[in-house]
Amino acid sequence: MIKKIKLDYDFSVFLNADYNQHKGSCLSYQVREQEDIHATFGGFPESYHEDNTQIQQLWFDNDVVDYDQLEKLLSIEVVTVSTILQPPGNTITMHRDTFFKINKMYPEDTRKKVRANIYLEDWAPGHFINYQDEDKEWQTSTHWTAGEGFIWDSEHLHLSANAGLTPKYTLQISGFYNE
Amino acid sequence: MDLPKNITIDWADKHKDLEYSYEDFKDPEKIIQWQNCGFDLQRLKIGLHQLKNPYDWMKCVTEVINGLPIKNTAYCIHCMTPGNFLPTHSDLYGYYAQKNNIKNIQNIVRIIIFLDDSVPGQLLVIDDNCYTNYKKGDVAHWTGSTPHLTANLSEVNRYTLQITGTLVND
Repeated sequence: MIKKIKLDYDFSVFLNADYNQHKGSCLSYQVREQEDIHATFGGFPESYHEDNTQIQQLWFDNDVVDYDQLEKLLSIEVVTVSTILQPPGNTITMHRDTFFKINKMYPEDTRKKVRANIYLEDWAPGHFINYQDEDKEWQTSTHWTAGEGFIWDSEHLHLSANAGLTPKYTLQISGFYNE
Repeated sequence: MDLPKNITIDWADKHKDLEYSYEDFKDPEKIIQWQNCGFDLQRLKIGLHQLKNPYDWMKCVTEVINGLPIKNTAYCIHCMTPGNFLPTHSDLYGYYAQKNNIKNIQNIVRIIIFLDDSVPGQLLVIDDNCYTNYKKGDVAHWTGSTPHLTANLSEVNRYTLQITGTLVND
């Protein structure tokens, strides 16, 4: 499933956080665990490495962010909340969300796992997300306003890049979808 | 200038067998600005295959281009490898303008022909128009200092043919 959303929420707690606490790359995980995606393109290109796939990710517990309020707004039983600062010049290459943390915490739970991916700031030139829509056609997301975004499950491939001159901030709320 | 939306490309994958040279982008001020923002210099490159004259096998394109109201045409095939960006910039046309004695760069036109169907993550943005789901042979263009951006965030090389010309009223 994929759904466009608009979240009306005060994002200052996310935007004012200290993103220097973390720097990392999902590259090794995505190359190892999602080999099937890259195989369709002849293998993962060597021109991607740890330095051009960086993200700065922060996690927010229930005592900092009201998970119940987010559940009401998004119809998601929230399990994790994180934000990502994607610095200019970086790509999160094509991948599917696999809900690693949720699966680890609730290995027996078969309910639909989803992620809300929400833009924390208005769009700036050079900020992009490419994603598969409900027909699995590829679309490009640009010109968004803060609070807009998507809820998707693991069926929709996507990639994200910052070809702009300012950081790109997104909020990820993951959990079980209240259908 | 009226341009066709698509030109039928009939030379299969010949562009993939050419040699490309990867040089630094020709606007040092932009390079510094982009590096200061966090871009890796090694990922701010496009491979160039300059052509003194278009190859005979490019007739399907040259026949169309020769019918346009432009002169001083210069052909170059580009290969952008995955993970590379050229963030928003305006072309300077230094060598081209000097060689052809162009006083006003706003009379220069750049035509881009996509040589393969698009793959997710391959982008060209001209002004505010984003070209993503393009087909082989699709045509885009800009004139003069129109800002544009290109990036290949896919997992395969992106090939384009760039034709530079001067509007005949110059």
